[in-house]
Amino acid sequence: MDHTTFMILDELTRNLGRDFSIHGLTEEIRRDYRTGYYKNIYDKVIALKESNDLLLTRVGRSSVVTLNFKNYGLLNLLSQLELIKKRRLTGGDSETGMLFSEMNSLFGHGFCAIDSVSAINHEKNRSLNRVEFLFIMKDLKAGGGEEKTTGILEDETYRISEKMRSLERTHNLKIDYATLSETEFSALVKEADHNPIKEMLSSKIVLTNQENFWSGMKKIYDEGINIKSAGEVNPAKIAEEDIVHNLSRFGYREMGAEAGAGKDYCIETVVTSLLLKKDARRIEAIPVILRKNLEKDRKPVFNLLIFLAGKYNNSGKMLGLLKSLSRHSDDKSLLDAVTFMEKTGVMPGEIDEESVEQKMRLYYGD
Amino acid sequence: MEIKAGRLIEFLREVDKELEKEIRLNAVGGTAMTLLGLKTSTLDIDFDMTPEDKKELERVLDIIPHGFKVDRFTGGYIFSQQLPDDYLKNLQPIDEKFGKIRLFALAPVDIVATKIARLNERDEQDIESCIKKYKLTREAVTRRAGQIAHTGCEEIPKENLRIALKKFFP
Repeated sequence: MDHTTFMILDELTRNLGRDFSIHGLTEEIRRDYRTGYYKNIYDKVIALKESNDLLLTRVGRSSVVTLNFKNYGLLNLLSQLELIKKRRLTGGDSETGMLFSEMNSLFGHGFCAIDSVSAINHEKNRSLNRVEFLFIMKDLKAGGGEEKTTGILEDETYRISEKMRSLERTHNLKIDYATLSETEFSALVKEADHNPIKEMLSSKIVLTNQENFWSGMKKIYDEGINIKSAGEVNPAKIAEEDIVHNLSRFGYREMGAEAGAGKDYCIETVVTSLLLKKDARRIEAIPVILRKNLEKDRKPVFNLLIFLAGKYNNSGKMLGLLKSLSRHSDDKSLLDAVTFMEKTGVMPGEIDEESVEQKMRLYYGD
Repeated sequence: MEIKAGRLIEFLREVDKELEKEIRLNAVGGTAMTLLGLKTSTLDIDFDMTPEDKKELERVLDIIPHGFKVDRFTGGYIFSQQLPDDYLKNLQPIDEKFGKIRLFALAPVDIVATKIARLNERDEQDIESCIKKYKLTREAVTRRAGQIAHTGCEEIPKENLRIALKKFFP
């Protein structure tokens, strides 16, 4: 793949859902790569349009450049892109090279449930002595019966956890990883709320099974969804008015708080924000907030909550809160999350059980 | 993974972005040696600071996901030893530009004096590097080690000083 094609595809895949004119794309490339001549980029965009890898849609006096997911051949090109990105990253950093090589040998085979593995925002995270991975797990069909496929998934999820802990010890760094089913991943990519998965889309490098990842994205595009990646947001810095707005959206109203307009964040990010801001009253309300949303179409994704809790060092507290919630709900995904956290050695943090129970009685009468 | 100076500075830049006020960080132990170029890397990150600056640093460390083990000491009480008050006067400024962090390293003679108390194999190598690079004298090391107060048994640091003087100033 020539460098101009690489730069064009890299920009487009990191900025999914953004409308770029060719001029705008050139500006973006110049900003990120400190090179980029309009003519070269224009010529390459036209060539990629002619090979059906890109679409050029007339909007006013400009043409908007987008990836053509209707062309199955694009998936090969994007898989190549991921491999080149991975090679460039490992070429410049021997520690990263060793880590990715181990990831490949650990997860490249022997796990039938893993659809793909991606490293997230690697360069920045390395400077913070941490790495972040996204595991997308296949929605295994019930060919062998639901119990068998659930068993395989559970077994592999625990094995992933063991291997991640082993890698942490070997490399003396922190590893945070999200394990999502294809369904969970797809739902989070499609939703309008700002969420960590959409953030990941703009900074990921797919390490294994690149074509699986992009096939999954193609399926979403085929549904007519315009995927939009998002910039990183630190949950600790979400503004108070956005917290109040989102708590109200999730059915939790506070006395004296006037819920106005605000930016929509997913429930998992909002709960993480409450934990980071250390307001005891709101932390005690987390089981109430989660319970209110267990009956909705968009339930809390506990795998995402577990990931965020680990990333922001709140696993113990999260487990304590989920255990409190589990005394009031037999939701399977909740109970599975509690079991997983306990089995992987998380110690429940101290929470004010009485306050949590009081809130539950207030809101639910139980 | 050992932490090189470059990685340490990158980490501090991320911390610096989130600080709401100026703080002063005094690197101690291996961190100080790495920043002073006396060794290539350190296993842990160790800083001394005021209690107020510690509060602000901890606020930021809580909100930035990171994988470093950062030990925070205050008021010159480091590794169970109390440095004399004048340690602040002798700190070496580290020439890196930050927005809100003022970065210093412990004076080499103070690094030696604090490592003598433990004196494991790694400490011995570090002490040797400091003495050679900064041409520390037997008298300076003896005087400084004598000014440090230790919790627990004083006999061990005294014995370690005797061993270190014999080894490095034969």
